[in-house]
Amino acid sequence: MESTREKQEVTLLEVLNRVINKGVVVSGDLVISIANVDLIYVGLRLVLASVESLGEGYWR
Amino acid sequence: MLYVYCIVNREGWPPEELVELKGVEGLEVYSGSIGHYGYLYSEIDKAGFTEDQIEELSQDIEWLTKNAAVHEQVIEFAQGSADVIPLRLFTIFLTEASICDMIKRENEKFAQIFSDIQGRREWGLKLFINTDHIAIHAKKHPDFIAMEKKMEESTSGATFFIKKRMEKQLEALKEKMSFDIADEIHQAVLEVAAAGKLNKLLSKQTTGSDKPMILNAVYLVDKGSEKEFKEKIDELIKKFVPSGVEFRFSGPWPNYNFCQL
Repeated sequence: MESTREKQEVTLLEVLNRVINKGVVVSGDLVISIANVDLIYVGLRLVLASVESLGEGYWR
Repeated sequence: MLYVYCIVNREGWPPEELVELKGVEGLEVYSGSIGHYGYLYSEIDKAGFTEDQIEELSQDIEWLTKNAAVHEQVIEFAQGSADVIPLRLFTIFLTEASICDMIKRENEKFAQIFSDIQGRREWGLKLFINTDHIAIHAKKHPDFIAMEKKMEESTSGATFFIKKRMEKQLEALKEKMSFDIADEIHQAVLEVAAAGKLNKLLSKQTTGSDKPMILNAVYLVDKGSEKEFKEKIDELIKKFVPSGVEFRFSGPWPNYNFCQL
């Protein structure tokens, strides 16, 4: 069985991948691109422990 | 300045409970509309969101994870009562007038997307494989057995080279068998989905799993077919977990992967 922490990690990766990589790009007045998502994923695992209240019922 | 979360199809829009919703940095979420479309946004402080500051925020993993989750929650809320085109994190406009200009400009493309995604939601499926498990099956493959036989019959001088070749052969067989399984599962899921897409496989370093990823797929599924879709996934789990396949199934998601302009 996966632990809760692992499940959260998996889902957070899913969320980040979608909102950063897959969300629709429209030409806004400000154009921001986040270059290296893979690096974010790796860094994410290091700080996950410090991210606490991300809301119940949110994790799938 | 306006931070925009998503474009919505205006049928039944805007919902009344919007006040309950908090957006990025805990800000209020508002709805606006033009023509057939609505949008959800927060008013952000211009001084706190210069391009340099956004660049900095985008590297602050703690900020990013918190606000990416909020961005997603706002979009999921919208999806509760309408079809939604989710926008990327940090989509920022200076005025409502420039949002309206953008919507007018992209009007035809939005109409096409909304017609494609109407009444449908996205589901994700990632598959991982237990390589020890697949090795057991690969060793039963006729090609491998033939090599083993050759090895037994060989003189001691040739053993080293045959052994090397066997290792290579085993790796190739493991890979082929893994991707055959992934393909079989993907094809079976496509039968109950309106559309499917394959995303690139993620490295072990990225996934944090000790098992290699063999499928990274997303499916667009009619709300009316979701029961059938989940039954198909359950059926595949029963069939393939004993072969060492790990399923990571997620959803329903806003249609991030099926809304490209």
